[in-house]
Amino acid sequence: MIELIGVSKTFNGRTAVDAIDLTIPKGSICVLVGTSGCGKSTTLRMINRLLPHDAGIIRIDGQEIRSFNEQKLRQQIGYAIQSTGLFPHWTVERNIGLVPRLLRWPKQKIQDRVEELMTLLDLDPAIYARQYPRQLSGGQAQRVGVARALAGNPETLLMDEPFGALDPITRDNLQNELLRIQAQVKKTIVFVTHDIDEALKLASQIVVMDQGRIVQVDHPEQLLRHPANAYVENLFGSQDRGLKLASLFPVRSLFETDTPIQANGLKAPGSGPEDCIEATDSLRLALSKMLWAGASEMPVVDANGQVLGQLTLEQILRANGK
Amino acid sequence: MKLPSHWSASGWLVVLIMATLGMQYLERFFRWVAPGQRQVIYQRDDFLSLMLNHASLVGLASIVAITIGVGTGILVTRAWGRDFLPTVSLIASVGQTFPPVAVLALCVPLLGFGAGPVILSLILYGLLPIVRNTLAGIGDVEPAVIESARGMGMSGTQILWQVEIPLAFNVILAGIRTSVTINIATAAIGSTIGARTLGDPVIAGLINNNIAYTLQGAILIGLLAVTVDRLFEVVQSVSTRR
Repeated sequence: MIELIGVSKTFNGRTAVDAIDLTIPKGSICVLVGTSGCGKSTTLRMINRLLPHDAGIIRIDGQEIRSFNEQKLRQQIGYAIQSTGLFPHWTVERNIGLVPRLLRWPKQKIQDRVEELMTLLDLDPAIYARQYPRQLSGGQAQRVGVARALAGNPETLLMDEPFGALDPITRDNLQNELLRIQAQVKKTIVFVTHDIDEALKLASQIVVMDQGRIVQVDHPEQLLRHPANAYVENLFGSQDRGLKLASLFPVRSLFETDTPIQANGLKAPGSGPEDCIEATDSLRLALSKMLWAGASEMPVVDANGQVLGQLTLEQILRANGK
Repeated sequence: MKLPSHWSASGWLVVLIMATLGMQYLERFFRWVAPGQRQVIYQRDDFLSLMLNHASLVGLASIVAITIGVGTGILVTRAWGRDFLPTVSLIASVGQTFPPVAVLALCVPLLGFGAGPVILSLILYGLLPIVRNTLAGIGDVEPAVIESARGMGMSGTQILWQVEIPLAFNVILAGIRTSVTINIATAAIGSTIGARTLGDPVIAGLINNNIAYTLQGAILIGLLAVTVDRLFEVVQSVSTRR
């Protein structure tokens, strides 16, 4: 758990962060959003003391961060940034093993850990372990960046727009992987982004900041339904809020709450990816597929292609409405 | 086919040694170069001892210049030394425009004649490219790399030795290479203020109007500079390959 109590930061007399209070529960993904210069990155960098806070208290698991040795503190907090900051003169393997080496783990344990993480992040150790960062694509480099942040097995992970420089497809893949990994490792993640869709997708808690202050802290759904003020409403797109909301829920959730329709064991007839909806698709994607097909209902299939039932436009409207 | 750099370096080294030891046996050639001279081989000192003396002047000055130069470059790029960065950077680039002869001339009134002022001026002059390149090399390290190194929990010393110096190494080495090569030539001028160097035969030749002497000194200085330059090339290619 991370607690910020009355934390402030000023740069040359200009207030960047203004007496903020924030509690980030253990195992959650807390996403800080806001316009440029709202203080979100500054807040993040105060947590691992890359920037000293001028006032207030920052506690990790109840311990004020100033009570730690600066380097020891950072070795226990994973850190990933947009430009990856991989060391260009080190191999992938050595980059990932950095924090374990600083923590003086035995050699074998470091090697095992590096391989474990590379596998977790879908990087074949046999191919990539000995490569240098310049040989990697942007997405691969960012995977290495995330692996490096996880290497010391920290409880807390700080991520500063880690996927900001990637193309939309790679970004989407990495977001899915982050969620998959988080389901396994359950870290406390503080994530900074200015991409609202990314925030909605990843966050269990979204913190909206403006001019160094926290405007609203809430779950994604609550933020969309009840924005605290015009700034939040604007940031989250007052026009397409309905679609953003629809992207929060997977189709599966409807079939769990509604009476489950018996799987009839049939393959969806003539099914291409456009003709049916997958259970893991979001309502937004389902809606898009129906709009494209001009159909008011469509079959829903699970990962094996088994038909779970029909999804109707009406069901989507009911689920998404207030 | 391009020869590997260590072959070319050892080739030059062999030529340098042979030229130093064998110069005195080339009397027939130099008679042809300078007909009508009573003596065509420089006799006041043997070439080997001039070569060794020349090399050790440059070597000594370079070791001091590298230590001070790289040290200064590192100090002013630390958080607590950054205040001096603009000044040092300015001195390093402006100082470079000073002709070496002028530096040498300025040292004489301070230290008199002999090897002392030569070494001092070689140090002063050799410092500049080293400082400049150290600053450039460390300055070129991506800020994101330093930021993530700090964020991972590396100490300042670890960042310096494991990140900044390895990444700046080639640029620093290029500065040292320039410095040493220039100083091999500059040291020859040291003969004018009484240091024993390979400049002696050159000066003697110019004074006595004996082109054979001048040529002997010039050939050896040239060979020494080329050989040392090739040796640096080897070190650089090895460190780049890593």
